[in-house]
Amino acid sequence: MPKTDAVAGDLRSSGLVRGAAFEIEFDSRPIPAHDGETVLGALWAAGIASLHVTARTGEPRGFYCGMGACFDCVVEIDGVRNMRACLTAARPGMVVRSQKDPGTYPAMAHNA
Amino acid sequence: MSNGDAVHRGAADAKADSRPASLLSGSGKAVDVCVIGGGLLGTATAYFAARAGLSVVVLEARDLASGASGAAFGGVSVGIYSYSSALVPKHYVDISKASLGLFEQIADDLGPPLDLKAPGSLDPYFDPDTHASRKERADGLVACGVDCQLLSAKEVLELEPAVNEAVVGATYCPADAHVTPINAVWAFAKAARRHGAEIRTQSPVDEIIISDGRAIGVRIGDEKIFSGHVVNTAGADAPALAAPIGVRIPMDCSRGQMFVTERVPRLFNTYIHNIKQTPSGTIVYGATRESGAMDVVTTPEGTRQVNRWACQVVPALANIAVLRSWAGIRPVPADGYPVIGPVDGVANLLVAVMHRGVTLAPIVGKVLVDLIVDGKTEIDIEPYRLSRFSNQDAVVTAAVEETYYAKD
Amino acid sequence: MSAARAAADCGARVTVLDEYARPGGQYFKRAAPAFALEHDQLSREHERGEAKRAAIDDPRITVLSAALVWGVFDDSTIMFQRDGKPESLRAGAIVLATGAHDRPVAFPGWTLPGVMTAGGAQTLAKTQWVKPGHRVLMAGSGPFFLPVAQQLVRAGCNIVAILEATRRTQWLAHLPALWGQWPRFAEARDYLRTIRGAGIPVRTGYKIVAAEGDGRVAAARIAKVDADWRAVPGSHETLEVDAIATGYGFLPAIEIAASMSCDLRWDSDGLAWFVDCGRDMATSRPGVFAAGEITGIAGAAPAIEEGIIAGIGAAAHAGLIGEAEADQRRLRPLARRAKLDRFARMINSLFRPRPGLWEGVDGDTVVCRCEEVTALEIRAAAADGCVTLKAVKDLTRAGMGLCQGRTCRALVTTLIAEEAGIDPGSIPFPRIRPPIKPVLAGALAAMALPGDTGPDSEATG
Repeated sequence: MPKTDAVAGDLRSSGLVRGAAFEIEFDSRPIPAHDGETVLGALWAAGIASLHVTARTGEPRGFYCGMGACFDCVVEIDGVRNMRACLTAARPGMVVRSQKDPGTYPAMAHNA
Repeated sequence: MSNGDAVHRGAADAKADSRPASLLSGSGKAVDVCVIGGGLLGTATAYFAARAGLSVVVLEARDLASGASGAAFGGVSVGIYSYSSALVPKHYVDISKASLGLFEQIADDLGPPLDLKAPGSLDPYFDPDTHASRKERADGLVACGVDCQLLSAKEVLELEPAVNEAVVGATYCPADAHVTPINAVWAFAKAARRHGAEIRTQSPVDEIIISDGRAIGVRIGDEKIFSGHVVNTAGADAPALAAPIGVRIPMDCSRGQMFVTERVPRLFNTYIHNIKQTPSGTIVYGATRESGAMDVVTTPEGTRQVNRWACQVVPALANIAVLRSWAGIRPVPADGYPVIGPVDGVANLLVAVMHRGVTLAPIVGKVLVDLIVDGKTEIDIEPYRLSRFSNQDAVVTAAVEETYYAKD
Repeated sequence: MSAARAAADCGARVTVLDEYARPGGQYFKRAAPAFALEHDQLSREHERGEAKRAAIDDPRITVLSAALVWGVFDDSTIMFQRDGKPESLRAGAIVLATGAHDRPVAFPGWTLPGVMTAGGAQTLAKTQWVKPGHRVLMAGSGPFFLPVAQQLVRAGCNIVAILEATRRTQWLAHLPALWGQWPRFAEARDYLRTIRGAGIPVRTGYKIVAAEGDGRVAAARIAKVDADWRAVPGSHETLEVDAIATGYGFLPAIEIAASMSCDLRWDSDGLAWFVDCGRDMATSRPGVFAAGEITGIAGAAPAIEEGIIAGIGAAAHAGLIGEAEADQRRLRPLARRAKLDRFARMINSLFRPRPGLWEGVDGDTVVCRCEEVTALEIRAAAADGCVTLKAVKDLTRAGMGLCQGRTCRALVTTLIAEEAGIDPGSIPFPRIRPPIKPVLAGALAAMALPGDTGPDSEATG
């Protein structure tokens, strides 16, 4: 399998040989990725911190547990919402979009 | 230690120790109304009672809305009688209409977290043979003064594009509404409290106390609570409370399994029986109708059946993730119609048990309070008397030979 | 993996259902084969992990990866989803080894991008070789931190400080339990060498108090703590960081076991419910065994022994070996596990979370991340008589989101306990119903059921 040196991406560790290089798309921007990386790995390395925006307060979220339990890192991948970026392998040509979580909020019984 | 009972018992014990000293601890002081059951009927009754200036306490065995009120779909509708597809009698349409109107009237006073929405309800059908009975239903409702339209397939898809394009037609009631039932219970409870009611959870009633043919209170463990009236709105548990005092409430309960999805962007313009989108964007749908199943669990068969049906009605559901399932027991009296009102042979005891308590809770709460305050009500509840079920008189057995304090 | 190997050794046909893409779980996770790593870039566990993966590469063992188990019915029928398609499996016996995840710890700003668990930082660094940030703060308690720090250093991270909440004086009382645990010492020495070599300050008796930033973490507020982990007034400092990794223990993933109504036991050190097991790792459900972190947080070594014991029990239940042979086979792993147990208990006691860990959890601080329910709302619900997780959930929506309560459940429990003045162990673990993980409605509609026609598969797994 063809291998390349690590791209000098912002947060990628240097000094190791990654899988084949390709690009994925995030909100219409090209993002470098490698075979063996997850969508989260590729996005985080590129310095993208906000993967989705919450419904109630509109705050940005990145990732929290990194292992598929917390669903903080959800993005839309190839048209499918609520995909966990930390568990999804990056593939050439993948179209990833940040989400704005849907839904209004019913009045909470104990709003501050 | 088992996960179920032992642990749950522990929680109840812990709460019991921290119960506030009650004004009702056998000191002789009484309340006007003691309501058994903290679901929609119970909290609605407490709301109207408190508003009428009565002192009232609600006694809930577990948490508020832990029975059918916590499991229900939440339709507040005049347009459907979901227990059977038979034509709905006018008295039932009338009481449902009155309840929906009342709900809207009190919505502001109830306040958050009530989320009453009225986008209208849709009951689509896919079999041309159903058309005749649907037309009959629509005509019947119109004759009762309810706006109910029979839509063609084209009209259905214009109104609700999410419905399967194989639809043949639908009945559409533009005034129908829905709530999140748990939110409605809490709204009634909080409003009732604001008006002076007391709500007690983790307080299971052991018996209704009878003296001289009159209900005078209830007993919880060693604690006795005396009241001018006792109202039994304990849902599926109502018969068990009534039986020891010789009051029989024949039931034909059925279990319903329900499901809810992740939040999705807005998908519907109305709500469908029974698929709706909540204000938070989740889609709630259901349910099975399993007569006699009393175990509050979801089953693989029920799961497949409901999801198969729901995905057929709304194809987009197939690609939406399901997050939770739950089950509830519909407290259906034996002939399908509500039980509302007094009990022959036991004075000052009122009973209210029904399916579709979500729709009827407001009017039932008001009716029960009317009966307590005035001894009568304008709403026609004759068809719902408990006595319709048996020829035998209610046999009242006095619990203990004792003199109890009368209501002061 | 140990359970599968042990059961296969007893003659069973085994199917392993793994949610991850590659066997190894958390402890033996590794970068994708596409990454060509030099030997010194591999972790200590790498060779053992490879050996374990090789051990289950066996015709009697089938590994189904990326399999999302969403329900188990009748203690024998397992419903799962792969590639969006519904599948099911019938088993003669079941071993649950669903592991644990980092304890979510809330503080103001913890939802900012850049605040993550130590496990999340480790996964990023170890499997992706991507740094969590340019300036990383690690805050937590306990030794499970050390391998994370080492991995981050290996990945070229600049770790600004490591905060350990316990103070050295608190360690002295527990020293006797270290006797005989020499492999642990060697491990710890190795990690500490890397940390010291990188010049990373380790500050004992400190905790994270808040994360600050706009759109992303830019700074961390930290403070000295007393024995109860409460911040000492006047000791606050602000550190410039762009990533915060918290490691305050673990919570077991017991959802499948709970959905099967297995008995659970409350652990007051771990502040969590675990699956209650006998010595043979049998749960209260016949034919259902449990191993690893879901029976108690103890790390990899005891988990491996428990896996072996559970695998033997499963094989015996499925009738492949007799009880006498099972007893015989269990002797050695039981002995090894007993030796390791004392150490695990000591660690769990010494580094148990203290009340100060949730002293900052009030007001606008989010508790349920998925539904953005604040601490104020949850405390108010508890004060209003909601003393069960279900009641709080019904009123506030906490636990109704995508993660199905996994992240907030323990937090909500501690808040209810605090508000109601009750022991958190008296708050029952909620009733868990399928789907245990999100599954498409279409998959539920299309699932096959045992009553339908279809082959029965006799397997343990």
